[in-house]
Amino acid sequence: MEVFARNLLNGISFGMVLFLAGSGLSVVMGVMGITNLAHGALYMLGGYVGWTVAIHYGMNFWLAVFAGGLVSGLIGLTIERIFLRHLYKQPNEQVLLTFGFVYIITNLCIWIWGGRPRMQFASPALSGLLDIFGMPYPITRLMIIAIGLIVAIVLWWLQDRTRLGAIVRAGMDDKEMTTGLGINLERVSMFVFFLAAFVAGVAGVIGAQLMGVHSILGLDILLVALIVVIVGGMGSVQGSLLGGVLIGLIDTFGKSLFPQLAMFTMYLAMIIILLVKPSGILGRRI
Amino acid sequence: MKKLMLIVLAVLFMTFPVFSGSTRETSAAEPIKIGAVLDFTGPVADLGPKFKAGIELALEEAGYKVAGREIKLIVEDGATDVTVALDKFKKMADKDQIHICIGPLMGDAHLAIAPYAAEKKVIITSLINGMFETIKYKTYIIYPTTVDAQTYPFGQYAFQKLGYKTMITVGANYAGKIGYTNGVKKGFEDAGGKVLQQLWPPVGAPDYSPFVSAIKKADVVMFALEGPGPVSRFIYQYRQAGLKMPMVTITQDGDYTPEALKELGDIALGIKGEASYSWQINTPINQKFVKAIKAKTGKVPSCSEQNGYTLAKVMLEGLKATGGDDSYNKLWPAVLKLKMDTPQGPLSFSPEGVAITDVYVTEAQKKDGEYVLSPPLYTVKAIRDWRLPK
Repeated sequence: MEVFARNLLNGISFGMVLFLAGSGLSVVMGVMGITNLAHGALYMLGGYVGWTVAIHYGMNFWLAVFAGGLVSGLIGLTIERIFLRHLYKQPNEQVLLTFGFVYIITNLCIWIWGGRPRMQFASPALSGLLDIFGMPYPITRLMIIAIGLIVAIVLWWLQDRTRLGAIVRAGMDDKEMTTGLGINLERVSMFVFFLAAFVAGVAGVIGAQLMGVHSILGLDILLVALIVVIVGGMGSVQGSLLGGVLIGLIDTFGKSLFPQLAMFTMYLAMIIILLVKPSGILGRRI
Repeated sequence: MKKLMLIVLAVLFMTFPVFSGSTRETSAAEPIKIGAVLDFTGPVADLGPKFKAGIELALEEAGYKVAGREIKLIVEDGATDVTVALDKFKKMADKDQIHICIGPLMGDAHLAIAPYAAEKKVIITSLINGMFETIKYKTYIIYPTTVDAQTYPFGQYAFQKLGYKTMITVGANYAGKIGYTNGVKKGFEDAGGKVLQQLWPPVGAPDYSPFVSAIKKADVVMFALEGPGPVSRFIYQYRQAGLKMPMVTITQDGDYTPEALKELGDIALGIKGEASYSWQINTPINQKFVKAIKAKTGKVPSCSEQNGYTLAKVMLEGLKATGGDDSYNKLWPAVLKLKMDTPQGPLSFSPEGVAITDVYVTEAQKKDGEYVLSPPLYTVKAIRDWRLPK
């Protein structure tokens, strides 16, 4: 029973990191129509910045989370303003451009931080164990679950319950009409792109508590983030949350119960969901 | 959705760069080209610069010359990826026309490269142990020995000296670490112990918690993962899960770099492991080497610097013996005849190209406020793979 409970919490916490990594990608892809393959690299950059603030300079962990988000958000915004804004509705060009940025950001990170992987780090206040009905469990993992849920609620509220979210959706459906109503669509797009990159950076620092940071994380995370988006469905925060947690649980239980299939569990889940519902669990048919 | 699937496939595909090359003849007047496939990116990216520093030190000591011929070092990034390592090797064999290659690191890459190296008559060396399966190609210098032979004595040590009767092994699921893990298992079981469970996490596993929660009860847990990053991640998650069983490991001198030990801090203390080298080996030749590496890099060496240095010295000594002839037919037998004193200890080779060296046991300790690996606690002299002909 304890092994089951431990796997359940491990799977949910890992799934929350996957959700945080995939949510920004899903929103930008599904709502704004931008394929940003540099999303994983922005995640990695956030992790390195967080490590520098929290470990190298020994500053507050939450400041590290904010700094990681801010730097990734600003780099993401720069990419959008200088390059991507000229490539709206040109998916092939977006893919090539943003994949190039994966290598640029990765090499910049190697140049700044070197090739040495950075170990997991967490706030000293959160690094202990909490007794859950007699089962000692790491507080950091519980905190990851809480942060994931908070971010999910905020993103859902922004997308579905605010004027900003309505403008973004309207702008993608009919840009000219939305602009004709006197709405500054460029400013809204800037904000959404910044927010997605900010969440990627925050995810990098939060995820570093489980996985640390290393120089191929940009591609590794991009792959799992794409799987989360495929499974959950594009453009839906709820879909990303469901996709992330589902993949996290399947991966964790799969590896624990069938270790010999460890290399394939995540991909098997993706294939099965694609066969059953090709648009993803909560995705629109496109 | 189809487009998204294509993107996923493109991401997978684009991570495997392909290089092509042309062939041309070399002459004795040209410099001797020594290739090196080292990892500067990927999970073991921090080891590449260490191997490179060791190789460079040996060549600097020789003034980048041997038997009147200049030496040119060509270094490529293997990216901790079999496909990339193979492509880089092909590029150096075809385009650069190398006859000597140091590296790559991972066992899978050795298996992939060996047939091509044999076809091209390139002498190739492992960096930290090699695969027994490559012996048949007669082009591989396997140093310090094969992966299985390297860890076999440690399995015996765990039973006979540490008193463990049962063991769980956690090994990364690729040829090299499978060999290391099974070497420990064979040594442990030959001595009388029993391995109750073997877990094989995939290379680059982001989260080891599913494997940690699957670990059964035993006297000791032995882990063999793919480098300092994954090793640190596993120890952290093992401790985080509150497991109390003692841990032992292999290739401790390669994985527990001074930087990794510092970040791991108290959670790694007391972990004993197999090691092929310790910078604290108390011999004049090693002390001289440690001083030279400290002057070059500012840090004490791990086995990575030592192995790079010794392998380059082996090639230099072999080239001296052939009068600067780097062709396979001359250099291969010359290298196998060598008997050398190295920072790691005495070195000789079997006729199959497998090095015969000492194996050590070390421990992660805290000394004068610093996290360090201990000097050798135990030494097994002149390890020779049991599968080699007598």
